[in-house]
Amino acid sequence: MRKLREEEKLDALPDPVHAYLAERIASKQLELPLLPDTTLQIVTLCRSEDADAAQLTELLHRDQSLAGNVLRIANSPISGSHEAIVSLQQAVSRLGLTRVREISLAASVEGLIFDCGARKHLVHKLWSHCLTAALIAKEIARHRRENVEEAFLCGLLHDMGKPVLVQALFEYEKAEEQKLGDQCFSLAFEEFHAGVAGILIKEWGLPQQMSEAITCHHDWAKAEQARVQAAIMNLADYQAHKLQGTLKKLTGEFDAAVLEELNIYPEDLEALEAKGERILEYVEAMMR
Amino acid sequence: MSAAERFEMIVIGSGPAGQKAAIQAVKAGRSVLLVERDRGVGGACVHRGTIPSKTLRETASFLGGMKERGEGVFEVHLPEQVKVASLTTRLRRVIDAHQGFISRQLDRNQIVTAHGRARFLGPKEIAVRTIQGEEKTYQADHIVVATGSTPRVPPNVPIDHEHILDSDSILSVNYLPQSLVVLGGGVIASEYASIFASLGVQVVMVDKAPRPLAFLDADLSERFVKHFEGLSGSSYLGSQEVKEVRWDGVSAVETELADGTTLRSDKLLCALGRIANVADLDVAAAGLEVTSRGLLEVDDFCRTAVQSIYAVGDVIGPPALASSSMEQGRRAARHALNLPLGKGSEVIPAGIYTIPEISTIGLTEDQVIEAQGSAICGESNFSELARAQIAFCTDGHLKLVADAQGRRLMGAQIFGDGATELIHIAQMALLTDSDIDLFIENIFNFPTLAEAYRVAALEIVRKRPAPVSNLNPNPMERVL
Ligand SMILES: Cc1cc2nc3c(=O)[nH]c(=O)nc-3n(C[C@H](O)[C@H](O)[C@H](O)COP(=O)(O)OP(=O)(O)OC[C@H]3O[C@@H](n4cnc5c(N)ncnc54)[C@H](O)[C@@H]3O)c2cc1C
Repeated sequence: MRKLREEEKLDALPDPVHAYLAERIASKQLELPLLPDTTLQIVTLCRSEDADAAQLTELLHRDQSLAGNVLRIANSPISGSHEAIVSLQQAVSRLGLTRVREISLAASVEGLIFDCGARKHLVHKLWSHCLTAALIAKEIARHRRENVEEAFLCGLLHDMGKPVLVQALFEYEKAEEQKLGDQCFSLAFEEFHAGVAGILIKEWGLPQQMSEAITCHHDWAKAEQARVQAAIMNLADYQAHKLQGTLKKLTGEFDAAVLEELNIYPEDLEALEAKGERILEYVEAMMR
Repeated sequence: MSAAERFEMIVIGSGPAGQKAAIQAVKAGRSVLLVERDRGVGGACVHRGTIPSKTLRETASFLGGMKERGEGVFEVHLPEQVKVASLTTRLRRVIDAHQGFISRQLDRNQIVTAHGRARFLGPKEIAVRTIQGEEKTYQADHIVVATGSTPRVPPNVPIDHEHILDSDSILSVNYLPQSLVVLGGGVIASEYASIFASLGVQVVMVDKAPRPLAFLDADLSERFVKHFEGLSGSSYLGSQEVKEVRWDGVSAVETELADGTTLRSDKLLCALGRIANVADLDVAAAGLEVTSRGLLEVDDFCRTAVQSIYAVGDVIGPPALASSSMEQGRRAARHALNLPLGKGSEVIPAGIYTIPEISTIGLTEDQVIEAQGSAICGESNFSELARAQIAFCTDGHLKLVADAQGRRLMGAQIFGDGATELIHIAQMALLTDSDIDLFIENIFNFPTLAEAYRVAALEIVRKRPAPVSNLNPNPMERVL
């Protein structure tokens, strides 16, 4: 049997892989995961003026896995609920429409990440990173005395480009009958994941600002409409990696200008970092 | 620490008060350093106060008005996303434009700016700590404190900027709640309550005072309440004590009142006053003290107890308006630099940007009665004005207060669209000590809301005590 060769050290994504991904993105041939129909309907319903709880419960009942996830998240510390929530009806009436919308989205995103077929530990890491970044983004927004909900959603979705790329690279492997190493995946993520996530968010019909903030979360200064949101995501992303000890995976130095953009003084950053422990506890409790 | 850099004047804070002080000083040929802890210049006024709230108001009033204007001929049904997107997109644009304008003005006047948190080292020296954590010192003969104010957080209202908001975080709404409790009955509370009620949110205002905007004539605040309570099932709960506010952990904010009632709402806005930004300043190092209300105390020229230090704007307390802050900044700088102060005016209009607007100037009817024994008032309902009918703004009212003889104008109060602009007609009349007849003897554009002045003036003339001779004929006879 052929021995597994030590993976070569790559400086950049091999040309054919790069060309393949770039072409797929440009020609809109990426396979974008659909936001499950039910989630989409829930998002729309929760935004309409005459949304009612009965309709929402009915929608949730149609998607068993989503329903299960809503219940699980509703009972986790992230929802802040003090009492056990055992039925969907109770979840909807106690959580309120916006909360259910947020939770349905979180549950769907989690589902999509887990279904992308990547290796289990990677998937696990990605989801816990997204949650951590979401919670940190929320704290940054709170410090800025801004409404925190959008920051949370951006955090949750900012790396959704990665599972999409995993799919695309699997297809490449199949077509070329060639196995790509972990490094290839990382390099592809680095180059394409933010843009792909932005495309996905737009496709899902979420606000344009959110799509821009996510597209620019590594290059926040490029954002026009959502510069502050993008800067919040940039800092949250960095802080999440720092908190979870995954920093070395990031290329490039931390961009101190982001602190200036967000007007965060050293003492503010310290206060923010002091919340890390609690955030990790939350994430722990949320994970399957 | 490196040697201190010297200027002739240092201004701390770039809100309306600080800007005007700095500009006044450079115009007089002095070197000025303007310190601001935020990224952009403009202060609360541009970023979290006057400008954003007025922009939201304008959009809400427009969106709210569209329904009415459909008149059953066409149906206007705006999805919530459209409402919120039009609110926030415009907000960004207006703030950027205004901030750009201020920056250019400061640049043009060659005002040196420093980005950092300032604190006093002595009566003529400050240290500024930058975002990078470095500290620089500066000295000047005069230091003007214009650090403004921030929303007050009462101990029983746990503001989290998620469910329980203050007047800063309410600006970043990304969807409209279905219900909102507003704590407070002052200007900011009333403005936001009417904005959200116009957008279709069910709003409950809760305050200690029996009626909101208590500093106004009872008549005006009643009109406000009547209009407000006609919107989206909203209501004003007066004479109430808030015991506790809490997020129930799941779906609603609970506001527990002392009388045992508990209100449940999607969100809560706390607008219970503002506190002066003095915490970072270490005023004690300059030999200054704050008052028991946390303000800096000043004399008529805005000078503090320490000769070299002036304080202007919200940091010295009421009236805490952008308009008065600018005048204080200007006066303080001129006084510090021994320049003539010019004639300051006591006649300041008050503008309240509720939907519809309220504006007042001069004395109220009660105040004139107290001073002169009686007063003659004239009123005009907008529903009698052609322009108001055309423009869908018939819910409006103008009241002129004249002296006991019905001759001199003493004050004016307006409730209705355009009130904050219309009031300046009365202001000019007051500043020139004008007779009520001015409004009758001159021709106004037709159709306009300003015609309300004429209608109200005519009523005053009609009510005048009968003339004792023919020397002073009733001008109505000439007009009608
Ligand atoms: C919701 C709302 C609506 C309003 N509507 C109106 C209206 O319609 N009409 C009207 O006339 N007024 C209105 N006001 C009031 C008006 O905004 C204020 O009166 C005005 O902004 C006060 O100006 P200022 O210059 O004193 O302070 P601010 O505008 O608060 O500016 C102070 C500046 O000082 C900076 N600063 C503070 N501490 C330091 C430090 N240590 N070092 C460096 N910088 C520091 C702050 O960052 C800030 O930028 C409204 C206010 C609010 C909140």
